[in-house]
Amino acid sequence: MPRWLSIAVAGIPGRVGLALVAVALVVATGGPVVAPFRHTALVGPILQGPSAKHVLGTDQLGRDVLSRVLYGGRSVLLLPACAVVLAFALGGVLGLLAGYRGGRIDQLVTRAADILMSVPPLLLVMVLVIPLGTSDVVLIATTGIWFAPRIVRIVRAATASVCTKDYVLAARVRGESTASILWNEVTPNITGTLLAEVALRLNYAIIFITTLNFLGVGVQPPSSDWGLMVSEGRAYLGHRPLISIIPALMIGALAIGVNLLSDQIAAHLARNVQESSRL
Amino acid sequence: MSRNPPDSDRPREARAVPGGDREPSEGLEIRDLAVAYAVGGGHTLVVGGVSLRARPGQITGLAGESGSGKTTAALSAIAYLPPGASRRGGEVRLDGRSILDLGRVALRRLWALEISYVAQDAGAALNPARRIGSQLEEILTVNRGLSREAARRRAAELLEAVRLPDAATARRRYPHEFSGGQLQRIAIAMALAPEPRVIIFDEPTTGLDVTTGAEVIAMLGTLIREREVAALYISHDLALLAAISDELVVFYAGEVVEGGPTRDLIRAPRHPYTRALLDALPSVRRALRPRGIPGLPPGRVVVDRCSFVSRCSYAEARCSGEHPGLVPLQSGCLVRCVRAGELGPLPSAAAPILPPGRERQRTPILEVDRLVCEYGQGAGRVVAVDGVSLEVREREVVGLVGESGSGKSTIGRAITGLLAPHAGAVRWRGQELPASGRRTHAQHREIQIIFQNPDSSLNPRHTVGQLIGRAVALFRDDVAPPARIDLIADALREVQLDPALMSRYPHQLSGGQKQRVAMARAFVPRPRLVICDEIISGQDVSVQATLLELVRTMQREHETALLFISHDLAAVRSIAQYVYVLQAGRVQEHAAAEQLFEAPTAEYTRRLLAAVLDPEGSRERGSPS
Repeated sequence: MPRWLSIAVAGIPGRVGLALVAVALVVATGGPVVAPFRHTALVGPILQGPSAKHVLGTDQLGRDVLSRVLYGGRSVLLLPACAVVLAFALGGVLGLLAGYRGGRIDQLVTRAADILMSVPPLLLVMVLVIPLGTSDVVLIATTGIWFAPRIVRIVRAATASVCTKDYVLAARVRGESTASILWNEVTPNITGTLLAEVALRLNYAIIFITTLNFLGVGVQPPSSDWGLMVSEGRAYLGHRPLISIIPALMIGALAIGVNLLSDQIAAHLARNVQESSRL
Repeated sequence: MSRNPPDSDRPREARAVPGGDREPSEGLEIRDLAVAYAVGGGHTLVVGGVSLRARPGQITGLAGESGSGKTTAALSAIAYLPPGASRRGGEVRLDGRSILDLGRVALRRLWALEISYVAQDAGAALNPARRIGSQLEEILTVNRGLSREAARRRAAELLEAVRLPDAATARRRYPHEFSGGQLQRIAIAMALAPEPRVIIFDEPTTGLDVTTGAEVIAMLGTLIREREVAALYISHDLALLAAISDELVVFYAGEVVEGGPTRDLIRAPRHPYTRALLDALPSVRRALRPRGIPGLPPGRVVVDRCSFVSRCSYAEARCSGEHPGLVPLQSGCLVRCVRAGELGPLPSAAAPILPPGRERQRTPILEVDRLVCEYGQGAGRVVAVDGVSLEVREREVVGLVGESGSGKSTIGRAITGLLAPHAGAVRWRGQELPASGRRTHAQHREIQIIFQNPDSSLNPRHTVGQLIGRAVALFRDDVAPPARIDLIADALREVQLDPALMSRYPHQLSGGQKQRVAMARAFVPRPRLVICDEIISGQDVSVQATLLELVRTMQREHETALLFISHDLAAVRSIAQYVYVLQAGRVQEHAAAEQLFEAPTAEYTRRLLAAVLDPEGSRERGSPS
């Protein structure tokens, strides 16, 4: 069993989290293959209750709800994942440099991060969406830029504390390059912090992007997306609740699952820190 | 060191605080105490059959290396069990009253009023956000029920008694406004505040400078005798315990291996472990080569054989067959050794050294010329090194001695280029050295450094093989890559480590093993100068001796020069040929080792030497120095 997996299943929250994430993953990736209809196909009368042909009924345009749920997970998974990768590429590199170099570079990076952090996220979305329109790239960029300064802060703090250790000084005395010191000496010692942060950020990104979809500035109809489905189906909540409740449950499962997993990792790290400080 | 007469005008009624008149104390008596830790599903016995006594007005020293169970035994004796530990038998009496079976409430009352504890790090034991006065007076008002006014007067008295400078204004100040030695005095005042019958001192001076530590210890001895408190003093430092304690108990593998009056025990040790501990101590008074103890302690109670047998130079076949009991001798000492009777007092095995004189004809390879290093700017500017000049010649061992804040480590950093000097120069073979990033490959290779704490200097995410391998890859391009693994193995063998450790991570090694890995990494590039920055402090006594021996051997075989930076004068005497004494960033004195230790000329050097405790010479310390 790989190390990350054994850490994840070490406790009950981790196991539940892993199961929930697995369900969401299977639905999102395998869903389109097994879906009985295309998600955009108008296949029957509108707003029907569950039947043998349409297990979850049909929506306000007569599309099969089950098929739309099975198709709707891809953007929910893919967009946050890309956004998190972008945020870490930006924030991680800047944070490492700022933490290691200190001085002027540090000041510049942290001040820039502070300014970005003071901008409300929805304002950031509006500023980018109005001139550029909505597209997957804009969604990823917005989320990535929103997260990057937060990651800068965390990576910078972790790096700065590692850089006080003598092994970093020892590497400098050996005449190692900055890149080599950051990669060989610093990164392995902050991966723990980074992993927990990745899980946490993934979770926020899922919620943030589905929120944008719900608000209508994200993925546009007629594509199917869980966030969008909740938004479209909420008008019929009293009459045909399944249209919005099922996608909402899927979002919930994914978010809670990722959350539980990140808790498990964080707990494992806290324990590790205790152990190493006892030695 | 000076001792003031006990302040005779201390009001005696201070003892009769609310709590009633007390009958004369009999002290703390521990009988057959055994403690185990829960490990997996079972138990590991870490303290076994410990019996000892702390008498009022006396100090009982608990000696032993880390993991010997001395702290666990002392804390368990006052029913303060560490998490995961459980008592497996034994009895403890305080003034004849059994205390281990007391309930939660009664125990808290006991700890509040009758037993105090002084930890190693006083700074961490004090609340940084509260004034000293309020912390000290709280003990008096809450535990002793004094009125605020009475508590204030009593607190002032206590701070006076521990000879805190400026005791009158101290109560208004916060912990960060005091130095380490002053904080330890405050912690002692707090321990004395409830007028306890027993105080446990857990290495209270280990983190302090030599001269500060000596003052605190002198003050403490006087207070304990004067106030008739029974003291248990836990320390790994035999020289210190020899100076301060009346009775001494030596712990090994969770058991008492030897106990008795301190003077007899130090003069004529009967257990091979006690002897070995004494032989491991370097001395400032005589040029002795300390001897390490090979191997590692078992870390738990061994029941089927003598626990020391694998490391004992006196062991014979029967030592592996039975576990020896604690046998009383005529002298009043107790010894846990089957051969104690036949062996008698064990003679010292430490060999004298005559360090070769400084060979002046050799050319200096390193010259530090009027070096000035500063930290901070403006008003917060601190001059750490203030015009220091020194020289290291080829194949020479140079000692750099000083207390904390003397700037000795800063000099080491300036030489390695981690720190840009403010003025002055560092020259290597006549050429000025730039900062670490701009040095030539050869300069990087030729100057290596070993740091104090291997937990910090070895990257915890790299294996031993990777750690040494990195130095090999950078500096040993003369060796073809396939042969490099053999080179790493050889480097490990050279520091007496098993090459099989190559795949281990630092946290899987003992403290001494980690420092050896750091040593192997420093010597493998074939340097011309190795800077040893406090490389033995923080290690156990026996490990210190082994490391000293090893670094000396490595230095000789590699024909390297050493700059040995240390606060430990005795260690420096045992290794260095030439010594610089540093104080507040300036060189106070420099001379060949022999001359410096035998006939110091600077006042500061004399003061430093006088403050160093030496087990053999300690009983004469009453004479003016």
